[in-house]
Amino acid sequence: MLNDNKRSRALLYVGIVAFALFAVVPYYWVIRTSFLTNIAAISPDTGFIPALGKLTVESYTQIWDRFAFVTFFRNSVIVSVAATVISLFFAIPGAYAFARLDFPGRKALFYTAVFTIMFPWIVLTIPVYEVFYFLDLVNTIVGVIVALSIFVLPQNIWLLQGFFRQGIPENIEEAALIDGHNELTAFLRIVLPLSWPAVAAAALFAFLTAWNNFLWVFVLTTDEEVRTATVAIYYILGSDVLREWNVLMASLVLLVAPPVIFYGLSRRYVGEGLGGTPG
Amino acid sequence: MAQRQGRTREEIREQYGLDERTLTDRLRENWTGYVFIVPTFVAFTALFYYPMVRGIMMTFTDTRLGEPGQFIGLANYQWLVTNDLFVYAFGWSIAFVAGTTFLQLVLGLLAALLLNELGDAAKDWIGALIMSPYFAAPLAGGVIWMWFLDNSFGFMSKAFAVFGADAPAFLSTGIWPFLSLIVAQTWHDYAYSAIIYAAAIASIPKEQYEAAAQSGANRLQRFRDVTLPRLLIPTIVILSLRTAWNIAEFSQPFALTGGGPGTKTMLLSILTYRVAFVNNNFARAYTVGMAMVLLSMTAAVIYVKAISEEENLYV
Amino acid sequence: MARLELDDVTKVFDTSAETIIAVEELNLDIKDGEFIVVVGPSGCGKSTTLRMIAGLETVTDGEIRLGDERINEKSPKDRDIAMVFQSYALYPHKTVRENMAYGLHLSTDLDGEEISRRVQEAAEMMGIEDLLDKKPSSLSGGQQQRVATGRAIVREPSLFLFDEPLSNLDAKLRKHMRTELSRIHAEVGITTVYVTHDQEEAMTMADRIVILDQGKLQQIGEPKEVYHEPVNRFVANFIGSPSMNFVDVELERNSDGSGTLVGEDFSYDVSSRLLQPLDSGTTEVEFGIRPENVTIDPDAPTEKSIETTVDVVEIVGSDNFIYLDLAGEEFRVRTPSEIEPSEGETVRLTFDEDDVHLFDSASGESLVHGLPGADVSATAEQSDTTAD
Repeated sequence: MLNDNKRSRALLYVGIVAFALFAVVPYYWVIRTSFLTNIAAISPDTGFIPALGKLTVESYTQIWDRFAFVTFFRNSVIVSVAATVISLFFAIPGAYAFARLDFPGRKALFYTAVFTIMFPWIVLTIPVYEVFYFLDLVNTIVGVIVALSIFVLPQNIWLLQGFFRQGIPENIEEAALIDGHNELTAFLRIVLPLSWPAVAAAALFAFLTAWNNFLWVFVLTTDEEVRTATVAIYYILGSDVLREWNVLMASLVLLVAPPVIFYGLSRRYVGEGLGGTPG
Repeated sequence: MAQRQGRTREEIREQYGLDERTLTDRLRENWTGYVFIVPTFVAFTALFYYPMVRGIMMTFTDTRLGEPGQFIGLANYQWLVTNDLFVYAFGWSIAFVAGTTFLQLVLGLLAALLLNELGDAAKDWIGALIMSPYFAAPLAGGVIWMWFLDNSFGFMSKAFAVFGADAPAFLSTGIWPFLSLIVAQTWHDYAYSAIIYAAAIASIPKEQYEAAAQSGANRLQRFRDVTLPRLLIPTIVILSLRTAWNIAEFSQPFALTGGGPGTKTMLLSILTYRVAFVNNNFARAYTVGMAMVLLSMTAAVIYVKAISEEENLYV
Repeated sequence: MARLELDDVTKVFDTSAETIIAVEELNLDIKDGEFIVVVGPSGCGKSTTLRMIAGLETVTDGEIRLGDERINEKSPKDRDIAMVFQSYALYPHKTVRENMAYGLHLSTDLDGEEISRRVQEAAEMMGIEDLLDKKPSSLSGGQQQRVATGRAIVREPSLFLFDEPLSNLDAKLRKHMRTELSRIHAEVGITTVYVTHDQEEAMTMADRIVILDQGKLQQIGEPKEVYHEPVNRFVANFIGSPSMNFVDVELERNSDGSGTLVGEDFSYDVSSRLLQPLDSGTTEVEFGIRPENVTIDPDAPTEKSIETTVDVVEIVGSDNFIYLDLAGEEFRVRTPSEIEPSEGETVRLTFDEDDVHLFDSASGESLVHGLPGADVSATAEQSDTTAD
């Protein structure tokens, strides 16, 4: 019995370590490169784990001179914040309606919302691009914000409706109606104050989803002034100039670190938040 | 209840004049619901419903960017089925989706089961570590793997060198680019199924395991009789969602191989992009996209069926 | 004045999937200050009725009047009602004091001093003065229930509505709260409609009981009345615990007007007094007898008794519940605790003719009740709307 337990324990740890290595080693290679000089990064003499003396933060300071990363990261923050705020403005009432109100057409609408989550977005970019083209929104920050707001909307609705369904005590709005509210004020004065933790979580997810987004920004912009960091990295990768791998990898670390760290810290909410996160 | 009283719906509706109620009556009765849903509905119409319909209409025209286009019947579809690149991309996309979805499902389940055996604190931190690839931007995932597999400077070529072997060209020759794409995509998204599975496993009451153990079931039997049945719905959910999202996946393969070398690893998503935004042929691009829509909507129908099984949880 | 009247009130739920009549043509006339308990199995329409009165559900057809004024179209806040929910529905982010004062702040122009005086008063009445500054989440279920009731009392409305308010409490606390709520009702004297699925709650608290089944009124009457003179088999079965025994019998009549109830394994003589109200053509009836009215008596005459075998004896302390096998059907008897037959034993059961109820086998309507002086016609009239 003890032996059997020991063996399965050992098997468990082997499995966990294998998963951890699979998950982390590709990251590690990026991080390793970002802390080397460009010469060391491509030198075959640098070991898997470079000597401490070879490590340098030089690449992180160089990012800001080499490329317009200040603009890129600033754009990333601007569009992500704006998209978060706008999408929440739409998602909060929408999710509330799906979760706690009943009206003819609710189910049909809910299922189409589910379908949108699964729709291949790349296909949708075509007619949307056409619309934006006629509205002169292509290559503008506003256009990117509008697209990303609606891109993160289904995910926000999904997360919030789960909360409204389970996190708000039943009959609470009805008690409020009897106490003297109408449906609108009952929502604003009773339900909303109870919802801020969920709204905050939804906001975080929306921000990171927008931050991570490549497709919409890539399709809708060509100018450097409106480029976000995610798209910028793709362009740098494709450019023919002599590659500075260490600088590129350092910017990649800056791009990837915020979502990975935030999600890691807020793992408790993650399960609920995934329903609407297109991968 | 009406049924037991032997009256049909029509009789009830007629008796209480429900058929006479107008649209305005209904609106007035449910105004709160509609007020709350209107912003969402407007947003969805502007960026989902209208574009979807507009796109489908486009496929019967020769619309290019900025040109309205003439009606040309089924010519685009004809072009589609006779286009070798499309047929090739269609086949490879299905292989890509099948491979990644299967691997994501299996690895996710394995990760969830392993994590479930750990103590709470360890589960939290090791879980975060194992799940971390999912949260990186997909585009970044592509770049990370490109660097990881790089022929000259990548981890893999260095690892091969340790054993004195020459690393294959992971991103260009033979079967390797296909495998690389599937493995990289699996790396990025297997955590999704791990998270869903972990939630499902955590929701199984401990008593059920204890009862099974008391009736003499061993570890494997407990897994088969207690755990497995609870994983059926999550499995369907994961399968359909991941299928749809793997079909739709663009950023990571685009960064990793971009469909290349040449058109060797051309996926439908990348093909759609190229036809639309490189060739500016919007109508044909959407026609290519229709194949993707068809595939993902099949998955969506299965998904909706699965969640309506658990009506109370989701709707 | 707060008399509550329901006139042919009907609620139809009409969705794309189905059309369901939840409540049909319900008539009630509730006097000012009366404590009415609406009782019935789940799905009988009792909660829907309450929610229509509260204004949380629209009325498909009919009229609801409170204090002679039609309230169908009024929003809940303008109806001058207060409601206690099964889930309590306390505001989690407000203290007990704020919970109780909230309605007064919103819908009256009382000054703060008056409000806090009223809150204090209600809190004293409910015995929750010490909890006023706590948040609901830190309270026990029983305390939350008191706060919810206090929140209703503070409003001093013309009508109290209770929706299964005690269902989430444990048995002991539930019994205690019953007496408590009765006491409070006696103190404030406000008209009350109280919904529950628990017939015992209904019997102990109500001035009058309203029994619903499948959206229709079955009977309305004082607890004693519905217990002794149920209008049909459903009410007889629903009220009382354990529930009444029903046996299909054939009625054989003698020339002098008396007769015999003939069952599969027994016969029981009844006098002409019992049979007198019956239609002379009636032969197929169902006779009902409550478990507490049956005694075990080996010396009882054959023509006034039933012989059966004991299946199970359940000892509850004060009484014994004895389950017997009568021609394949379960027959329940409640006896004092000292009478404890062994299982498998054959016993002789007897009961008084006065406790016998006879029902129409086909319709389930009651035909006659054994208790002398019983005035069945009065209740039958009140419930004639139930006739299909």
